[in-house]
Amino acid sequence: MTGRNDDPAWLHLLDRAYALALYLYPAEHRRDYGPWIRQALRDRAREVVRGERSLSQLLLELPSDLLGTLWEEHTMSFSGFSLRRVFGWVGALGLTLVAVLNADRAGDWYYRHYSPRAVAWRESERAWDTQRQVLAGFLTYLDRQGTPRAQALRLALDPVPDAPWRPESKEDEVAAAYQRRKAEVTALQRRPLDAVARAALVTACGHEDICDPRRMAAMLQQQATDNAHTWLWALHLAKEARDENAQRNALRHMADATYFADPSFLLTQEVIRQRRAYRGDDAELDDRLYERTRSFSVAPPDGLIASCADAQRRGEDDVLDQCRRIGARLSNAGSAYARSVGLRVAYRLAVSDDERAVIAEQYRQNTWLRRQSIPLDGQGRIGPYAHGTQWLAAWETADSEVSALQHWLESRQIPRQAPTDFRLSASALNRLAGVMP
Amino acid sequence: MSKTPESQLNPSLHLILLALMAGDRHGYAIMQAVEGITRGATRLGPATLYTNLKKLLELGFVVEVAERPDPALDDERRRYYRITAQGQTVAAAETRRLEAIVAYAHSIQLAV
Repeated sequence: MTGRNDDPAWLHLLDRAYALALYLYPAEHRRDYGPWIRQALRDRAREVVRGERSLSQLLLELPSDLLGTLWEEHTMSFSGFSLRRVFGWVGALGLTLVAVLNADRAGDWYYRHYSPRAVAWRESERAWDTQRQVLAGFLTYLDRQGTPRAQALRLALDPVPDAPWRPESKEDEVAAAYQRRKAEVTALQRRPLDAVARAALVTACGHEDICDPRRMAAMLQQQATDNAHTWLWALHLAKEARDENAQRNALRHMADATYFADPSFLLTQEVIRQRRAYRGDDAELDDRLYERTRSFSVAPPDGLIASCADAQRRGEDDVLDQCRRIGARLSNAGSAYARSVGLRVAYRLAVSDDERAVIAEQYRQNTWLRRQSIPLDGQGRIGPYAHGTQWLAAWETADSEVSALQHWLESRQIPRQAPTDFRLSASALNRLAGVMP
Repeated sequence: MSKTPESQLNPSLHLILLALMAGDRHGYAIMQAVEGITRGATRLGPATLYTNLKKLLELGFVVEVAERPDPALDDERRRYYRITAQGQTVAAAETRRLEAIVAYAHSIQLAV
């Protein structure tokens, strides 16, 4: 029983190598089942030929398959001493040791090259190259300025690195980057900061272990802003700091705010505008750029939802009214992310099963939410590529500056001359920091 | 505690028996069926498959039947396996055991 003539050369080679490996098994097992095991291996290898899986996946599976059964077969068939049996045991032990010592490395190699996350990451990185060059230019520009505002903005826009292959772990250079970020934020807090820098610094705190939520909440309370997203941040931090007065203040301002624009979205729009000036129309590239903005901080909605739930439980009608207004406005916002937050608030405040069913159906139809798998009634972390492909951030009238920028993008007006230096307008800088000019 | 027939089943053995409940299958067809049942979560390697088939043969849950080609694949002769009545009984018992666990998980409102 051998391979077919139309099998590729590597398959024949693999078959012969596997036949040699089978000599590690007891003779009886090899005699009874060896040909059928080889036949099954050839069938698996032909899946690679048909393109159903990759060769590396097959090769990585084989050692564990062999090792897992080698011990079992030798243990089951042990009946006295023979030199061949000794060699079999030694070979099995040797292979086991090699596999154990290298398993982590092999797994890491596979994960870095072939996991779905790695494949998606490489594709997005290719698309991100142009935008990264533009962003890098801007970060250098901010570095050169050296002012506290510029430093804060640079921290807000320069993403804290996630370990790209294992997002749940923070190892080596990622841990070091976290420590550097924490030191920079701490140092900057000691300097006198204007409103823009304060808001930018809060945005830079993408992870709780970098910033003290109490201090950040207090910083946000000091400034005036008409950006609901900034107040969402303030609410989240006030919740973390268990400051009820600050929560109420943030809710009130959020309900009355005129627009909802997170810094990452605004920066993305500005970067795209600059990119279009260089390269012209490329809607697909713009979509990918937009998808890539996960690395910037987005205010988590959990504080808002929890505050509204508290108000409902305590029967605080004035706060509930604010929550309903916020929920309704967010639900009609252009940003898929904003709409998702609005629906979650509305669901929490719904008074009947019918109302909840309607909201659940709207939630189900939101493609961005399906991708993120955030439960309607639960606490969900925003995953990679958090923003969908919805453009519009403004939730008020078409007269807001953000809406005008959006309209400009959609009309695809490209300046005649490409800008020679990357810089943001003063109003865009302010909006990035969540402060009205 | 003495071993009952169904307590000798590990998940791989159970899956192979389930794959054979649909009819006689050769080794590769069993591998494909197990992958289908688990939606790709479990992939049996060639060595693991035949070690498990050997166990099932020794326990009397499975028998070998005539070798013949599979027209859907090629003209290579393949060894087919068939589940016995005892194998069906054991597979059904194991399935009931797993169902009881899932039912309990649902009863305590565990998100499954």
